[in-house]
Amino acid sequence: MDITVDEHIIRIVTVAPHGRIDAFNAATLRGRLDELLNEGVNRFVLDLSDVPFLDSAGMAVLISLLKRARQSGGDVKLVWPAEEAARRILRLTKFDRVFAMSETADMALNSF
Amino acid sequence: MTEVDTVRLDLPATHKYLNVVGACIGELLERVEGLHEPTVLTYNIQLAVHEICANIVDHAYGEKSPAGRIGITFTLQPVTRTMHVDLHDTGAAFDAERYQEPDLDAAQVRGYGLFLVKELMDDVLYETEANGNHWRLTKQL
Repeated sequence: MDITVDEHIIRIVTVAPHGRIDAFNAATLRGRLDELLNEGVNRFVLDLSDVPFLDSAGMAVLISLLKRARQSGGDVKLVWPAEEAARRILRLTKFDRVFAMSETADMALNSF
Repeated sequence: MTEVDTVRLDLPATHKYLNVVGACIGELLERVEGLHEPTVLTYNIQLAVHEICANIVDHAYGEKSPAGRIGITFTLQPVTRTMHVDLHDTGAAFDAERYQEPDLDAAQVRGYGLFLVKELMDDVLYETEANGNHWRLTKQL
C-alpha cells in the first residue's frame, strides 16, 4: 500500500503595534507590513489590543493591507482594541464587517 | 463648569505634534464634571479634532506644511454645556465639492477622516476667511 503524506504549512504572521496608529506613525506600520507582503506573507493577524488611538491614516493602512492580502489569496484578521471608544469607531466605520474580528490573537489565528 | 473657559494652542502644521492636541483635550475635559461616558466622549472629540488638523496639514498646507501654523481655540461654555473647537489656518481652502462620503460597505482607503468628524461632533462648520480657513467643531458635553 502506498501512502502519500503531504504536509502543508500555512504561514500566518501576527503583527502587534503598541501605541497610537496615527498620521505621524502610520507610515512606519505601513513600511513594516509592506516588507512582510514583499516576503510573500498574505495571512495576517493584526493585533490592535494595545492600540489606544487609531485615526483615518491608520485605518487606511489596515484597508490597504487587507486589499493586498486578499489579492494574493490571503486575509487579515483584526484583534479588537482594548479601548471601548476605539472599538466603537471600528463599528461606526463598519470595519467590523469588512474584517473578521476576534477578541484575542489566539482566536484570530485559529479562525484561519 | 461655572464660567467660560478658553484655552489656545498654536502648533506647527506637522503630524508630529498632533498628539499634543489630544492631550490638551483630555486634560481640559478632566476638569469638567458630570460627563456622560467621559472616556468615550473625550476620545471622540480628540479623534475629530485630530482629523481636522491632519486634513489641514495634508491638504490645506500640503507640501508647505512645515512652515504653516494651526491655531486652535477650545472654549467650554458652562450654560449650554458645550465645547467649541475653533481651528484656523492660512493654507488652501477646503474643497467641499471634492469630498465624497465613504461607502462603508466597501473597503476603501480614503474618506474616513471627515466622515468621522461629522459623525462624532454635533456640529461642524467650515468657512473661508480673509486670511485662510476656519473650522468650528461643537460638542454637547
